[in-house]
Amino acid sequence: MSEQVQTLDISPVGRVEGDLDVRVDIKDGVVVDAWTSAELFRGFELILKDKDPQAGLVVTPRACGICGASHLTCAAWALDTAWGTEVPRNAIIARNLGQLAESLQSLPRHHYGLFMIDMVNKNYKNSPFYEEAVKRWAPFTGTNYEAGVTISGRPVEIYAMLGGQWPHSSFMVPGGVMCSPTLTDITRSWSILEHFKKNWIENIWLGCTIERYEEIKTYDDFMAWLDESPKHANSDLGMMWRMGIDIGLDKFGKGLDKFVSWGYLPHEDKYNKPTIEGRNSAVIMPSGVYDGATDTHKVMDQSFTREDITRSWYDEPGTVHPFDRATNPISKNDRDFEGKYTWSTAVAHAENGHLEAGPLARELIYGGNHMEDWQHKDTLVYDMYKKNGWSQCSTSSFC
Amino acid sequence: MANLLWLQGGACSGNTMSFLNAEEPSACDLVTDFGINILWQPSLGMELGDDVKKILENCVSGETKLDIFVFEGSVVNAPNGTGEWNRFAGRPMKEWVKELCDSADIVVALGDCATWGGIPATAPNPSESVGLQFLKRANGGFLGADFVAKSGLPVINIPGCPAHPDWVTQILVAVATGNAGSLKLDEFQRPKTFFQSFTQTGCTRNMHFAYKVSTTEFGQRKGCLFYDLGCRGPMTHSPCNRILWNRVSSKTRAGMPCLGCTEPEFPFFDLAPGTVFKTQTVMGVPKDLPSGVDKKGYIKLTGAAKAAMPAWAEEDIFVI
Repeated sequence: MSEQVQTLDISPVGRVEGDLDVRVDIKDGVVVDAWTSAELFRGFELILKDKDPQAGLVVTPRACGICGASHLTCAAWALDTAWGTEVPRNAIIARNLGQLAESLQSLPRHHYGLFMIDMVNKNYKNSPFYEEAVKRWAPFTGTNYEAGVTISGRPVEIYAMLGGQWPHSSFMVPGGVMCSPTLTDITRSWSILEHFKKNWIENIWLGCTIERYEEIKTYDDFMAWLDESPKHANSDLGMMWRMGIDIGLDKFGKGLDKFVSWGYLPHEDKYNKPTIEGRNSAVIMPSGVYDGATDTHKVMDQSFTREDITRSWYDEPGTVHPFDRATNPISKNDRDFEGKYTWSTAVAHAENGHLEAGPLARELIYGGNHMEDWQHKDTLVYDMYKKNGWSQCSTSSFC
Repeated sequence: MANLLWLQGGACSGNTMSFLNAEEPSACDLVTDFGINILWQPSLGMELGDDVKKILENCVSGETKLDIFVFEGSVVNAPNGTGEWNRFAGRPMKEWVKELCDSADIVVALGDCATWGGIPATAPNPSESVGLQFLKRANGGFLGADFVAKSGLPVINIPGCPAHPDWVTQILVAVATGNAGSLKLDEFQRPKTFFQSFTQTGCTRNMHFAYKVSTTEFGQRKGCLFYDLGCRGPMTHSPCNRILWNRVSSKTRAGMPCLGCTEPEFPFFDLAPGTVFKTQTVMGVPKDLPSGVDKKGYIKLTGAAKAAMPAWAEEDIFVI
């Protein structure tokens, strides 16, 4: 009986910002195989064909409601790179501020809205943390859920001052930005950051100052920080981590153990004349590939990027550089788990094979020594990942 | 207590993200203070898989009373009218949408994709997307021109890419408190309380518009974006400069031309080469004139405006 593999189809999986179905094979209570099916095709690439070159500034941010600034940033820099435009220092700062404001928004929104509400699931009712979790994180009514979701709208007020609205502005254009902020915009933006820091990051999320938290460089430092004060242990981060261990989040979540980031936030004095070749040595947050098996980091050279279409509903050859994609959707999109079963494609590297991207990947890459001195380095998550082995569920949610 | 179900079709979740920016009332206030019971929402719902299916089935069967059905995103019909390119909870989303619209007291189309098809329906419309009751300007859409929900009201269209959170929360409160009947809708089924005035109403560049002083390049600290940079503020119905975005600004205030995203034609001119951020003109006169103004009137008006223009209007006004 225990040898039998049980197949479970979950349709839909919510809170992933897109239509997703998941099939899992379970043996002895452990997931031994999984298939994810993205179930929506809109064809933005096809819509953009033969249109105005600047149409990308209007259309691509609208690919995603939660990360439109990232899409807009890419669309604007792509045009600057193609046209050889020079981008002034202040415009780079304004673009970066926009992208960072969006990222700040997604911290509380992701943690309360999308992730921690799973911790109030009644399956965890035997956890000693459960009662407190419900009090804080229950959807709509939890004390910190309400505080966190409401304050998540504040950082994007900065985006609105630069771009008029969030989501879905097109304020980044070739050669710069559309805005010219005044004293009002700058002072208000600064003040919003102070408000966000005081009223969420420090008092609810960390239970300490950002400066104290930034002293943490290793997993041991983090655990010592947890023990240092009840304020730390009972902060939302402290409790999320401790409850995560209690309910076993550190026991599952094995991934590929290979990660990628293309890097982001071009430096305001180093990327004024953008080129494909010059990008890696001009971004504040470094690019990289991290291979866990050999524990090695290297810079991500875009020419090695591959998009694997083997399992995806497109009539195109298996693995190509993204520049060579054609986007030919297959009309009859039946799910064939031995063949094609999703609209999404897989990230790959010509030498390293399939890779995981996202917040955990970025943090692991910041732990390397492959970047330039001035680029961002942060060893905490890298150390955490190594100490916790392959079980990345809690480390991933930490990011 | 009003039961609300929210689903997303050919969507980016942007209307949900915009909704989460709401204050007075906030998304949480709707639940705690205004008696709205959110049965499920794609970005917020606890339930997964079969539990979601059960919620939907109960709404369709009537076991759960569905007071408000909010739909975000286009209705995807591809390929060949089957809707298989957007499946949800085991079948094409369009099949759920049909059954839920027939079961609901009130149907709200939220954002451009749900109202008129939006960006996905831009030529060549690869996903065969339509809005709930319109495709661009044409009445009909997915449900047909004659559709009315159980309350007797047609689909309430709240357009915008995305819709402003206050437009959503205020309509939901009106509906949940039994005031749907007092909402006045325009010919595109938009609530007039928001969409009778223009985007230009309240724009900080109105004085420059009046004197026909143009912003000729992005980032200039003077001028109106209508004359050269393609701003559609004078022709677009929205309260963007009355009910500010994220409480603080609007696109035109920040220096970005209005794209006309609350109108059925958005994105205008199907984004053809030369049409983006550029005013379309014939012999120097804009093709699309401020609502209700004819070409002769426009030439007279701008002639007089130019003649009356004070010297300060050519200098920076939004200075550091």
